[in-house]
Amino acid sequence: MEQLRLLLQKDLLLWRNSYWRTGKQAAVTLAVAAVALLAVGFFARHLLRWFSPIAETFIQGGLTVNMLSPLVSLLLVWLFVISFFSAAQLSRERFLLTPDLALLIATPVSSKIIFALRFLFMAFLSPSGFFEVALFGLAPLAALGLITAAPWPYFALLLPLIYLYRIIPAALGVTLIMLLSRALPPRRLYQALTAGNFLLGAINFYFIFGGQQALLTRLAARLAGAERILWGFPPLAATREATFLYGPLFLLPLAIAFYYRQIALFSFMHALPQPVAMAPAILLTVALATAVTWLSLRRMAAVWQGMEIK
Amino acid sequence: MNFAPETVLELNNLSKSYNGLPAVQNVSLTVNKGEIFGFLGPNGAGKTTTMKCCAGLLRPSGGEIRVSGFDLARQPASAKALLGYVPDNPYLYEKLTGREMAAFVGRLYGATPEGLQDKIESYFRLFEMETECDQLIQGYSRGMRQKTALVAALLHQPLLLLVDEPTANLDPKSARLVKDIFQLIKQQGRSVFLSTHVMEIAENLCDRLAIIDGGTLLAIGEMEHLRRQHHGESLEEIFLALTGGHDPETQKVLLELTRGKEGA
Repeated sequence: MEQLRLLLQKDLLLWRNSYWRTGKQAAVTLAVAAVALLAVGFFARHLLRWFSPIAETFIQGGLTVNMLSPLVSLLLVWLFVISFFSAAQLSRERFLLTPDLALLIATPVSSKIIFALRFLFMAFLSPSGFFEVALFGLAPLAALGLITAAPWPYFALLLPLIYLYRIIPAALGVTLIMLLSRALPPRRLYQALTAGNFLLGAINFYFIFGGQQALLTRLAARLAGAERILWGFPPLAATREATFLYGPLFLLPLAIAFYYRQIALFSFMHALPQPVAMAPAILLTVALATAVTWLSLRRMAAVWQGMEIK
Repeated sequence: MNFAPETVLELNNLSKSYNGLPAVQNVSLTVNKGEIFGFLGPNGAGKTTTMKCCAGLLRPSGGEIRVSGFDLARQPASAKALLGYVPDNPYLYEKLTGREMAAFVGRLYGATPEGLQDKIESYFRLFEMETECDQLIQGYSRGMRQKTALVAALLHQPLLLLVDEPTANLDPKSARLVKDIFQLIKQQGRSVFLSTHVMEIAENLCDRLAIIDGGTLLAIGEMEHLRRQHHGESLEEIFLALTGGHDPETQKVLLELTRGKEGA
């Protein structure tokens, strides 16, 4: 515990000295934080504008939610895929390339502690991770809550639940890198990841600028049919292009995104007091996130421990 | 295996290869308690690789390393807690001050918090960095970084200090101070295992020496022993004789290159 405390204290000092040491630095940090919050607000408002016409057309309780749910699923899947690639890219640097490893590995600190701490920082505290969570998780789910007049516990639980959601792709991303690093040198690894990120960027570009209205219409129409036939299954059949593009890569994120979407829906479709209604779902989420992370990290920390710092 | 209580570091047939190319081959040596042990060799001889293996940064391809009886591969935490390691190009966090960096490393190695700040203060004063130690490391010169790394490695009073090129970036005054510190460590019954290119340091400071080339240990022993065994007066002569510096072919090429216009 003492070692963990020292490592955390060091990170805190590094943060303070980087962003808060002088008045000028503090002002810049606050300005950046304000811009980030504004960006999240802007995106949430933009999504509200997407959701509103559907909500007005199908203002019939559960139906509204059913019509919006494919979009929420899609955004959650998107968050999953982005978090996966971003964790993979970050873990290449944090676990394989940072020069401070040479300092830390030589100390008596257990490499499992170093590994776990790096992973947690990457999953929870990286600025890029915050933007991914805010833009692709928090904003759409908050917008969904707003137009369906969800009760306050829904909003209170959004952030912790989204972060628990993100930890799953992050653990899988680290796992991928640890496995690939045994076969590919860091440079090749970088090239492979960059190619993956370009593909993601292209798809993102298509979804954002390739006709939102058309996409929404198709989403809503196809979902209605898909959910009628396959109730309880992820409704991504509504976006045929995405299914073709991602193929099997979508299966796992889809299942988890579907489960998360159900939690979001559950929270405002039941008459039970919200915290009570959501307790099993939250507990299951925590269990799921912990299990995936634990299984993944346990094996990967062992792989990493065997690696060398040149 | 019997491990003599006076032995703080024992390398048994240590080997290390990179992609099948041997960097260190079957190196066996011991560093005793209260001893300054010098490790010499030309560039690329395997000194730094050996040091990194001893610090736990590289996994040996063969052989074993024991620190005061602890197997570095099986009991890394116990073994590393007894070491202090200063690499030739130490990593320091740019956004920490020298004082913060030293305290962080010292505490990680188990230095007690009581009196730690006073100790840090004293070491930095010795190295004439009492003002700079509260500034961010990003503004430090190479020499100041080397001093900071040394201070950090000394705080927990390691049983064995591993130092790769200890005086490489230091001015003469600081280099002298470092040598004095090593002598003090020795007097306290602790040990120093250093690699160096500076013959003067090796000859005058070290109790025993080892010369390595091509990853193989060529000679090991006290200075007198090396003189007798290799028929040389100075360490430089012995070193050059062992590592091929007096190769007649080399001398011929040098002569050709430096002959100049009149010789042409």
